[in-house]
Amino acid sequence: MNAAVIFWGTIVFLALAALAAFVLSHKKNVSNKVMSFLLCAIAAGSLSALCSTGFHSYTYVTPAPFLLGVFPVTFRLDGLSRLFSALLSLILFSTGLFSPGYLNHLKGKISFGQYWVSFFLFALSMYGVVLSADAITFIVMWEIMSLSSAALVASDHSHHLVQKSALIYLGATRIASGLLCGGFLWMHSLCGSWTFSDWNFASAQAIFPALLIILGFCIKAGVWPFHIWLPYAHPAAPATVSAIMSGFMIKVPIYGLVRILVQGGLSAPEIVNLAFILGSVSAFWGVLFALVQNDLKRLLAYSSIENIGLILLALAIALKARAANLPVVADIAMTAALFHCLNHGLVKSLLFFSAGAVDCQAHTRDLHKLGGLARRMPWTMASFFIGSFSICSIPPLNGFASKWLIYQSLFQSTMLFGSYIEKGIALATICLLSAVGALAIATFVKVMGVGFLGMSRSHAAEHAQEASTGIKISQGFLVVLCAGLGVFASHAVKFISQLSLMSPDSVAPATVEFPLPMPVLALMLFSTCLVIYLVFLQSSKVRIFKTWDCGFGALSTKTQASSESFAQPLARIFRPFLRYETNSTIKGRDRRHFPEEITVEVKIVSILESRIYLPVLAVISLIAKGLAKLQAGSIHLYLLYVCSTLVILLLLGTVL
Amino acid sequence: MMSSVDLSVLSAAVLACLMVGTLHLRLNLWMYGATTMCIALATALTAQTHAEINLICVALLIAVLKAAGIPLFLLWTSEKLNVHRDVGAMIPPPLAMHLSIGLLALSFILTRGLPAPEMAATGWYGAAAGISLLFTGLVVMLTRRLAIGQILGFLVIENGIYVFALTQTLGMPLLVEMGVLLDMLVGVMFSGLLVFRIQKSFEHIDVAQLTSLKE
Repeated sequence: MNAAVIFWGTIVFLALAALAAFVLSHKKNVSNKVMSFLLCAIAAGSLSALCSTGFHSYTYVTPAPFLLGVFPVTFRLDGLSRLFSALLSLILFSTGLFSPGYLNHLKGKISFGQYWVSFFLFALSMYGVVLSADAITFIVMWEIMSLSSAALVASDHSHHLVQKSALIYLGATRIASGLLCGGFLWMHSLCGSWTFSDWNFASAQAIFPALLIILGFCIKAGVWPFHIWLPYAHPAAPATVSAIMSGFMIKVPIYGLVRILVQGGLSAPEIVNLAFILGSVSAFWGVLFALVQNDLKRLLAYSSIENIGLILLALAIALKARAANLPVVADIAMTAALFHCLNHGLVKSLLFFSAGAVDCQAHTRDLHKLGGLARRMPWTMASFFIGSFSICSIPPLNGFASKWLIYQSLFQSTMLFGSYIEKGIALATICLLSAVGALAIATFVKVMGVGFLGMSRSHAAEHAQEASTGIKISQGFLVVLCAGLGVFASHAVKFISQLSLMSPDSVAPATVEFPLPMPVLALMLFSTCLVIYLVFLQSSKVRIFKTWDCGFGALSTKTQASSESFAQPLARIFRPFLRYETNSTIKGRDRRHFPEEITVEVKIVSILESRIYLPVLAVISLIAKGLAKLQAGSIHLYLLYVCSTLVILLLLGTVL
Repeated sequence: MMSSVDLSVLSAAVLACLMVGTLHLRLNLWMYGATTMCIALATALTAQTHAEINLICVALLIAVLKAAGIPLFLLWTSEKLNVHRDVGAMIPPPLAMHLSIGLLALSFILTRGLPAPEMAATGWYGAAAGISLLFTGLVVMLTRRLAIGQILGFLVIENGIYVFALTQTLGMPLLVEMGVLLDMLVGVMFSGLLVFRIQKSFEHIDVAQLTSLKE
């Protein structure tokens, strides 16, 4: 099949769908079912087209009338873009299944016409970014992606918090795009070409454009310390959008890093070390803040920061190993990074869909108000639990497979690297990753325990019902994919490693083997669980008796372990990073012995936000206010500007 | 060596500078007419030296439409609106006149550095006069508060551009110059009507008070 079919098929169909949504939006009754069906059909079509193209690389340049100004739109379909487009198609397909059931509860809150127009443009631009072969196409698609996703974040823009989130997100994307444009222009002046394959980052002058590009990508990926926008944007957006943003959009910068910097031969140790440090800090920071969150989607957003950190870390290890001429380690780390992209994309979509289903049924995402959903929403519970297991890297799920590979690359580094400093760093990173893993388990145990088990903490959670069939199907689809990628990890790893990722034109691609027998492992674990259940749990009788209630009367839902009481002991260990502010007031006449009212308010203060970002923003707005005085509205003043500019320009042109 | 064309465009520039010094609308418009008449003369002289019949037509058109027609129309407008004197803005008129004379000197310095085109009809005096007219027009717009004053300044700027083009090339083709003249006429008519509208909606034509459109 010709490669052009994929580009035209996918991109033009998505553009037409956006147009259709735009036309229908004037009629005020855009059918979510029809639009979701369109989305599913396009995603399935592009997936099947991708599968049918085989393993060849294609480059496609659009013919004359379809130009971006004077530049042709250049697409390239190779191993890397195939992997990312396949992930995108899978996520879009499941989103299409999920949408009709979910969007119903937003009726009246958001305008569906606007939502679907932005959504199709968003999907189109993400395909465009991962397929683009030159900087112009890339940046145009990147901009459409940024703006349409900002519009989607602002879907429910009647809330003040949503407006604020959308503005923060928009600001972050503007800075990221600016940095990227700077880096691209610089590289163009160095290499004289817009095509990515002509760019060479091995030279010494390329270090500054590489720095600009990596910073731009880090902002968009939500890497520490640029992650501020992520925990705002994800809870504000509808679950479908946060699933795609977290599942795929923050992987697009990773794709960019691989496509531009890794395949461009970056080896400058400063940049690689920067990526290494940023990756490890954001992995730790993300999971630490995820642990203390109470909003389900905010928690998942912080967990995304952790995982993006892990992916960046693996990329940095790959680059380090390549510079040290250790191709084995480099291949393992590279495969691990991309496999984790794939896995995290699927798992995070699954988790966001489950969180969306909870939000849709219980009308809250606050862990203080949830609880006891296991009996009322068993399907959602099962899919959320499986997603949580996977993201905590419990075998035999896919999260385990890719994290295991990251560990493998680090263990290999401790053995193969020459200098003791490098060995020590690798060893320390292994320790850090284990801490991150442990905190991730704590985080998700908290969510599972507080959110789904126990008694309901609010009236709404008590009356929640199981989500609709479409939602269940989409969750089931993703669960199957997660389990499948975990059980058949050896095939997946082999496939990904053969996509010739490190450099696009290597003749013999490396092959990374995944030595664990995952199907056997899965079978063993499953049978062990079954035996434990049948032997120990099944036979236990249910006994009903009265617990001693300390004389306080009947047990209320407040006596359960809460989100805070679970997280605080762990969080206290990391006091230097996490600043708790606790305000407790006890009221009553004899408040020492018989308190009548106790209120405890716990707040986590983000040091980065309050100490660095807010002062910087204040300075910027001060400068902007000063600049705004230039625009006084007086014609005479404007004329004076024109006149003085003219004089200065003429002086510059003639005297100098 | 200063040719007669140079002399007439320079006298146009000097007349424009003098125009800055007064706020009487009637006097301003007459002086603008005189300036434009000088330019028409320069055009005719250029036509004579280069033996181009087209430029004669252009000179006639300028004399009739720009030097007589537009001032008369604006005079009629100001009579209708019952305004005879501008209030003045930013700089007092005598100072503004001296400023524009200073800018005339500056434009001589500026144009000396300009690369002279080979085909130029005259030397850099013409270019200096053109740029000086441009500056003078800007000064007029800066120091007038009434909308008619703004139109006048704009017309002076246009004269400057025309002088620059005339002296630095062998004169523009008739068709182009006629198109420019037509645009000018339409522009002036249009802004004259707009002044009526502004007068009707705001009860004044003071542009210094029209600051609420900045956002």
